[in-house]
This record gives sequence, structure tokens and C-alpha cells, in this order.
Amino acid sequence: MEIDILKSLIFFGFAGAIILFALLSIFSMRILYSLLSAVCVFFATAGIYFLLGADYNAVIQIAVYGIAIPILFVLAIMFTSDKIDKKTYLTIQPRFFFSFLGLGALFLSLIYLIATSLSLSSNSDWIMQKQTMFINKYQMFSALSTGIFTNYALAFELFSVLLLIVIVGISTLNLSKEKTDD
Amino acid sequence: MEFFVNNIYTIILFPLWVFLLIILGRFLNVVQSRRVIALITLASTAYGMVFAIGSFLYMLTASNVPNFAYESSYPFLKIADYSLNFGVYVDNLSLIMLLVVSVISFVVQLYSSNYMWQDKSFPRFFGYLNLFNFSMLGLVLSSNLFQTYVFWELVGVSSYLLIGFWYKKLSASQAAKKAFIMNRIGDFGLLAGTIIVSYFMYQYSDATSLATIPFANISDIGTYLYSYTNDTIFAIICVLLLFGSFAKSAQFPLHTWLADAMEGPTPVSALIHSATMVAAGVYLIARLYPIYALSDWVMNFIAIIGLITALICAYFAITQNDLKRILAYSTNSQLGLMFLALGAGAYTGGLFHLVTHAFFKSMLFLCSGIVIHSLLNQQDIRYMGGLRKHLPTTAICYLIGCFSISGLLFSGFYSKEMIIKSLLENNHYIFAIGFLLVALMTAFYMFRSYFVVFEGEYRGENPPHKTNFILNFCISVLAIFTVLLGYLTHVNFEKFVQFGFNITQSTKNVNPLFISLSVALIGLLLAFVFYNTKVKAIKLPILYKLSYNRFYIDNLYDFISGKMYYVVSRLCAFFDKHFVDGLVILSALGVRSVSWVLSKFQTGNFQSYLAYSVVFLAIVFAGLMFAYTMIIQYSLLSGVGG
Amino acid sequence: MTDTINLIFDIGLYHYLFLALVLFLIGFFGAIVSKNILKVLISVEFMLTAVNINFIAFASFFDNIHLQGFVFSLFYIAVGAVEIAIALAIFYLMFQSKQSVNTEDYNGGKE
Repeated sequence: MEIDILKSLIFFGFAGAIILFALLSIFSMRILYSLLSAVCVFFATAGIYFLLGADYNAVIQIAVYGIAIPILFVLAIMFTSDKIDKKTYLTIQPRFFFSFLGLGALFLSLIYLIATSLSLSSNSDWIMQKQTMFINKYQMFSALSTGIFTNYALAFELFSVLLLIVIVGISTLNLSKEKTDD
Repeated sequence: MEFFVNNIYTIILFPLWVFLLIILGRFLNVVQSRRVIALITLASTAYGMVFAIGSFLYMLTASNVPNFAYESSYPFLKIADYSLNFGVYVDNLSLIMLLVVSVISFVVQLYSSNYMWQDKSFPRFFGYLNLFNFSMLGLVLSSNLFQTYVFWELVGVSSYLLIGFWYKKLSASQAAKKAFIMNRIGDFGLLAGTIIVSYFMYQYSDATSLATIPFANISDIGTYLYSYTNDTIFAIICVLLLFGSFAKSAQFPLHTWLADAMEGPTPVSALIHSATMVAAGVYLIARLYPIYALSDWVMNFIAIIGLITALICAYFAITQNDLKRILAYSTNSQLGLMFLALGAGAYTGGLFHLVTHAFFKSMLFLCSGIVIHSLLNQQDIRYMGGLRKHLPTTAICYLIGCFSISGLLFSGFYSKEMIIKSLLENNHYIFAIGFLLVALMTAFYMFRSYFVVFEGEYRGENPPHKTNFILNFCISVLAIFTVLLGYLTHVNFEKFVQFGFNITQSTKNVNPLFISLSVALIGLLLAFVFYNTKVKAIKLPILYKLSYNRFYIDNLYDFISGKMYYVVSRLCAFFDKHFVDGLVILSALGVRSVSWVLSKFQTGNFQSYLAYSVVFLAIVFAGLMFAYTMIIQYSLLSGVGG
Repeated sequence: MTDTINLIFDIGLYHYLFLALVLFLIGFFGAIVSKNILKVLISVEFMLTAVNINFIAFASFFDNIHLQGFVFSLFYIAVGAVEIAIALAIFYLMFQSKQSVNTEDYNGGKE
């Protein structure tokens, strides 16, 4: 069987980067380092999206997750952490071990489940689901943009309403500490 | 005439109504007058007497006198085809008992309306008397063994209430407790026996209507029972049933309560503990006679117990110094004789002795009541004497009673003759010798009591008071009955008593007149010599002590129930405190520790809750894993998918 | 031997699902274990992106007519961003009273 070496190389590169930076993110000492690793994770997932042929999704991912959200986080970090992060490293409480084991069990069972469910599907090459279609980027863009204004217009409008609610809601929150008279 | 028999159940209800009236009337302050209470009580008993006489006359004129029976009962508890009935059963035996109970009840109530007039709890006394009347009449007229048990218990309760009438006196309430508890021991046996017999009747006999053990079909029940059990089990069942009679009629070894029951007022002793309640045991044996007669061992058992009781109680009575105690032991002894008679096959004799004994014993007790009252509650015979001059009527009646109980004259003579006659006819020589021994001792102690109380010089401090007309009238009525009842034998008493049940009569015809009379006369002579002349009574040291302390049986029972139970109860208390309470503490501890463990899960930290959800999800998905495996195997097996 | 090499190195749907699963579990672990609230939020973001990878993988392998998966994942990214914004706002409110980013200081359920 022919293996597309380049594709697998790129995939493993990006996948490895995701996993590496995710682990780095949760095991790092400082909150800023973990934020930076998280940004790398998001960029790498954008790479995965490119591999899957979803260019537009990748770009939006970079823009939103890779840039806008880190800005929010940086603001939060800036205003709240003026102490050393040593105290807020990982916990050595029982939940560490229980969740570790539980997640391991979950991992194994989910792998098994995915494998078996894929094996039950009608397609014979269950693990080798080849990409049978190749969507070209222009197709994707045009399909998405026509979709937003025709099929998914309602979803688009609802989302804009949601954004409006969020803006109004946050602006009514009392985020600054006002001195009360007492 | 038939009206009396058909409505005989009303004579049970009337005293119950009077009882309720008195008791509730006291609460509601409606019935206060003592005269009214006494009158309505006497009215209810008189009503009973009228009905009893009417039914008796009806029976005489009915065509089937030996087999006369009237039954009317209704099922009150019905489960499928197992039913317990409640009703009346009137036949010769119950009519005789009814007459005895009604007449003696009436006389005693008349007596106590005068005797207890000064007592401040007079209404309560009469209420209890009515309760007793109700229960005794119910017992005599009941149609099956279950109903008998119900009224049996009621009679026991009335006896308890009446013995402990002066409950503020410690000895009285203790005596009442003793009587009731000993009765309960017997009731246990009676109930167990009843249930076993009922079970046998329901399971094995042809008619499940026999499961309520009706007295109308008692011979069938006996036959069935005997055919379906082997000898041992039959004997055990009969012994269980006999327990009830033994306890109620104070046979050995359950005889100790009767002497202590004299703590109650004298009318109570006259009514209950000489004539009626203790006769209920004999009545029950007479009712269940067809069952007992099937086994020789059981009959011998009854007779032996009766003989033992008669002998030891007569032996005790010889040395007692309390007048009522002498009479109590003599009652006990005569009851033993009745049991002896029934057990040895002298059915007619035993029952006739029951009837005559009821009359003269209650008369003796009423006389003793008069004596005690006139000496201001002095019961010790060593402080009495020479009362013949002060209480002439009483002395005459007492003398009549003594002659009767010794079997020398009047009705007692006839009944004892009947018994000894059938004993000798049926070749029960040992029983006959025992009977004669008892007769000797009876004569001795009864006449001893007569001579010490009524003859000689007065040894007390206060002069005796006069007695009044009503009390004398009562004892005279009973004396007349005592004298006249003897002539019933000429009217063929057997005809009235055997209701279709045949006892084998021996063909011998013995006349024991000489033997029995001479034995009794020897007793009379001895008593006369020792107590009426200047000859000093001999006191044999050991024998006297044994007799006076009643073979120390009382002390033995005291020891068993007191000291030994103390040990047992200490053990039980220990067990209860450490094991039973320990179990409870253990369960409490268990719950506490579980809740302590569970509380450790309640951290305030949301992340630990997330961890719990992870574990839960892992379990769920592992389960799903197994489910998927099964699905895959199944689909592979049936060749689908893949 | 070659079969397993083929299995591992020939990229199919399964590899993307596997990747998404691992990223999801890492994010879950980080959410439970971190003492810093902001790190918890970051880990939650990981979980969201893992789900997104799942959507896009399935969409690209099976959906070439309606492209629903892609559109939905687009909206999903946006909604995730909105959610982060709200979460940070609430966090800031809580921070004002407690002055600490330690999760152990926010024990609300113990009393």
C-alpha cells in the first residue's frame, strides 16, 4: 500500500506539537508560560485544519483562538497575578491520582469504543478511511459564504444577538471596585 | 318452658350489663347508691336462677333426658372452612352447673350485701361480683373449647381482682398475683392443647366443623384424636389440656395459690374458691371426659394427681391455725377427691360430690365469715372458742357442714358413698385406701376446727358481737340445701349426668357403708378426744413441722421464682446490655463511619467534583465497552455487519 | 510488521480522532489538577479545540455536499470565544472579593 509520506510527516509534526505544547501548558510553573504554550497549541490545530482541507476554519481559528483569546487572557493575568506562581502550581491532592487513573481508563475505553464503532460501520476500510473527496479552497470559501447568507442565516443572526447580549451583559457588570460609603 | 332454653344466653348478658353499669356509673357518678347496686345485682342473679330452673324443668319434661342437648352457636371467626364458633350449649351437665352457680351466687351476693356494707369500696366489690358471675355463667354455658378458654381467662381475671380486692394490703396483692400467675401456667397448657386438638380436627377429621371443638360432638372428636395419634402424643395432648384444670382447681403441684387466696374477703372465698371457680376445672374434665377416657394412662394420671393433692392438703389442714386456711385446704383436698373420682371412673360420684361440696363448703365459708366478723376480724382459732353460745345458728350450720364433709350424714354422706362404691366396684383398691385415709383426716381436722371454735372456753380478748338476720338466713338456706340434696340420689342422679356417653359399669355390687362410716367416726372421735376433753393434743415433732409448713413447697416455689430467676435475669440483663444494645450501637457506628467516609467526599473544591465525574465516566464507558463487545459478538454470530 | 507500519503511518480518520481524544483528556486533566484558575480556563479551551478537531475531521471525511460540519465548527469557535470572555469577566468579579487566583480559596460548598 502506498503511504503518503509527506502527509504523514506533516500530520505527526502538528499532532506532536499539539500534544507537546498542551502538556507543557498544564505542567508549566508560570501562568504566562502556560498561556504561550496554549497559543502554540492553537496554532498547531490550525495546521491540522489545513491538512483536513478546511482553510477557512483554520484561519478563523488562528484569528480567534490564536490572537483574540490570548489577548483576553493576558489582560486577566495582568490584572490579577502580582505574586509568585509557585503557590499555584499543580496540586498533590488525591484528585490528581484519581483523575489520572480515571482518565487513563477513559482513554482506553474510548479508544476501544471508537475502534469497534468504526469497525461496525458499513465501510470496509475502517481504519483506513481515506479522504475520498478533495475540496478545493475556493469551493470551500464560496460554499461557506453562500451558506452563511442562505442556509445558515438564522444561525448567523442568532449568533450576532448572542454577541450583543454578551456585550451588554458585561458592560452592566460592576467590574471596578467602587468605594461604598460605610 | 322452651322459652327459657331458647333465650338462655340472656342470663350471661345480664350480669355483664350490670357490671358495666356499676363501673361506668361510678365514672359518670350516675349509680351511687349502694342499695341500688345490691338490688340490681341480686336481680340479675335471680333472673339467672329463674331461667336455670325453667330450663331444668324443660329438660325434665323433654323426651330424651339422658341425651338432652340444645345448642345454638354462630361462627365469629371464619377463614375458608376453618371457623370458630360462639354460642351456648345446654345439656344436663351444664344445667346442673348452672343451677349450682346461680343459687350459690345469689346466696353469696345476698350475704355480701350485708357483710361488705361497711366497706368503702362496696360498689367495686359488686362490680367484680357481677363480672365473675358473667364469666362463670359464660363458661358453664359455652358451646366449644375455644369459648371455654375465653371465659376461663375471664374467670381467672375476676378471681385476681377479687382476691386482691383490698389491694392496699401487700399480702393481698401478692396473693392475687400468685393466683393469677399459677392460673396462667395452666392456661398455657389449655391453650396449647386446644390448638393442637383443633389442628388435628381440621386436618384429619371428616368434618372441619369440628375444628372449633364443639362439646356436642366431643365423643367424635375423642375418637378421631385417638385414631390419628399414637399413645404418647395422645397422652401429651391430654396432659396439656389437663394443665388448665390442674391450675384452676389447685391440684398438686399448682396448689399453693388456693390457701393464699384467702386474703380476699370471705364472700369471695365462699363463692369462688369453694364452689364455682375451682369447680370449673372439674367441669372441664367432665366435658372432655370422652377424650380422656380413651387412654388408661391419662385416667390414672388424673386419679393419682387427685389423690396426692387430697392427701397432702388434708395433711396440711390438720395443723393450721387460721380458720379460713383450714377451710381452704379442705376445699383443696375435696377437689383432689373429685379428681380422684373422675380419674378412677366414678364419673357420677365425682360430679355429685362437686354439687354437694359446693353447697356445704360455701356454707362453711359463710359461717366462718360470720365468726370472723363478730370477733372483729380475728381469724386465728386459738383465740376463739365457746362461740356456740353467742352464735347459735352459725354453730348449727357449721356442725351440719362438718358432718356433711366427713361423709357421716346429709348430702356429703351420699356423695362420698357414691365415690367409694364405684372405686371398690372397679377394683381400684389403692385409690380406695387413699380415699379412706383422706376421709379420716378430713373428719379429724374439720371436727377439730368445730371443737376449737365453737366449744370450750372463749380465749379471745373482745366479746363477740351479735350477728344479724340476713346472714343467718343465708347460711340457713344453704344448710337446708345441704340436708336435702342427699335425696337426689333416690331420683337417679345418673340419669341427669350421662349424656349419651357410656361408662362401663361394673356388675359387682359392693356396699362400703361400714368401712367409710367407721373411718369417719374414728376421725370424729380423735378430734373429740383431743380438743373437747382435757386430753392434750399430741404434737409429733417432725410431722407437725412438715404439715404446718406445708411441706415447704411454698418456700421452694419462692426460691425458684425468686432466687433462680434472679440469676437468669442477671444473665439476660447482661446479654441485653452488651449484645442487643451492642448491636444497636454497632449499627449506629456503622452509619456514622459510612457518613464520615462520605463526608470526606464533600470537599468544597469544584475540581474534586470534576474528578468524581471523571471516575464515573470511566466506569460508564467501561461498561459501554463490555456492551459493545457483546453486541459485536452477537452481530458476528448472526452474520450481520462486520 | 509492514501492516502495522501501514496502519500507523497511513493517515486516516482514526488518527485525527485519536489526536482529538488525547487533547481532550489532557485538557480535562489540567482542569482538575490546576491550582490556578486561569490555567483551568486554558485547559477548558483545550477541550473545546479537541471537539472542534473532531467535528472537522468527520466533516472532511464524510460530508462533501452540505458542508455542515465546517459551518458548525465555525460557529463553535465563535461561541467558545464568547464563553471565554464571560468566564474571564466572572473570574474578575470573584477576584475582586478574594484577591487570589488559587482555586482552594474558592471553596464554596464546604460550609
